[in-house]
Amino acid sequence: MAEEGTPGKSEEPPAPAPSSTPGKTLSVEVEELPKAIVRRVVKDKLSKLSSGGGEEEILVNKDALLAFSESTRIFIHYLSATANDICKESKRQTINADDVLKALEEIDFVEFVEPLKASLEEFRRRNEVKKSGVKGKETVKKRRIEDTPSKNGRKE
Amino acid sequence: MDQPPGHPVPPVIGVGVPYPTAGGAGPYQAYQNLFHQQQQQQQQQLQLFWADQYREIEQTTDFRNHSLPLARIKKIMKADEDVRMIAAEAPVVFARACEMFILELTHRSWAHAEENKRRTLQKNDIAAAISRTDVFDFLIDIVPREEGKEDVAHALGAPSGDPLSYYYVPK
Repeated sequence: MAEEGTPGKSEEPPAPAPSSTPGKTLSVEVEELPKAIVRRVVKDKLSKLSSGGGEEEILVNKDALLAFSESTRIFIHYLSATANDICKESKRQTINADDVLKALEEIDFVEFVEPLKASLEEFRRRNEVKKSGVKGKETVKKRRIEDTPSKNGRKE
Repeated sequence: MDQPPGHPVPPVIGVGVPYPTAGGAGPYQAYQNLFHQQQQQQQQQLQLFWADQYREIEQTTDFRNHSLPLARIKKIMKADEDVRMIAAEAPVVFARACEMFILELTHRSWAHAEENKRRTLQKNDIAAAISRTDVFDFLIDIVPREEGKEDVAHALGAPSGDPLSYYYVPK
């Protein structure tokens, strides 16, 4: 499945998009990762590190949370740029999952690759289930319509 | 099942099941009925509980698979003009990779806070983690290390010297 270059539907409330009038200076708002999610990931890890919350909770400074968000954002840029290069080397236009995995090896995050492959497999499997579930319902619908020809003489 | 607790199961017509109010004819039997009814209720509650748990687990796993919003990740990627088309699977991998990245950075930052006997994670803990770890080199300018923050030297086993110097550990 390839994605279009133009912004289409978004799962998030629309954030300010860069103004792109040709010839003028771009005023770009920097997209940030949602603070609450970054915070959750950090806090969950910290509570595991502090022996499951048996000792007192480890707090996170506001500046530190920002630093986590920023670092992750730059990580995305770094990984994207690397994956993009790998993709172009193979004379393709669309960055795929494999490019990203190769990019991770390239930037020395090798330990990430195996768990990510497992995650990806899981994601693909769930998508398959969803797809076949939808197909199943449609088949049932069609059969029902055919069963009641008196309602409408239509055939699917 | 809308009987208030403590009431016996209603008797089946034709079968002599005594009420406890029937003048002590079979208080033990009444007790048995009550016990049986409570067991049924418990069974139902357990079933509901487990159904709920399964649902929760499914939802949690779903959530974790896409913990960072894919659309946001795509937008961040596209801030780089060089990046054009992105397959739908790619942000999925990114989301999980980012999570792993945060976990790693958190762990190393926490180690620094621990060394300095603090229970609050600060920005300079992250800066320290970045400067200590080769794979985080790309972040050196993002979270700059402030000099004179803390004495890390003695925790790392180096001879304690000037407490104001920050200690760079080459890998």
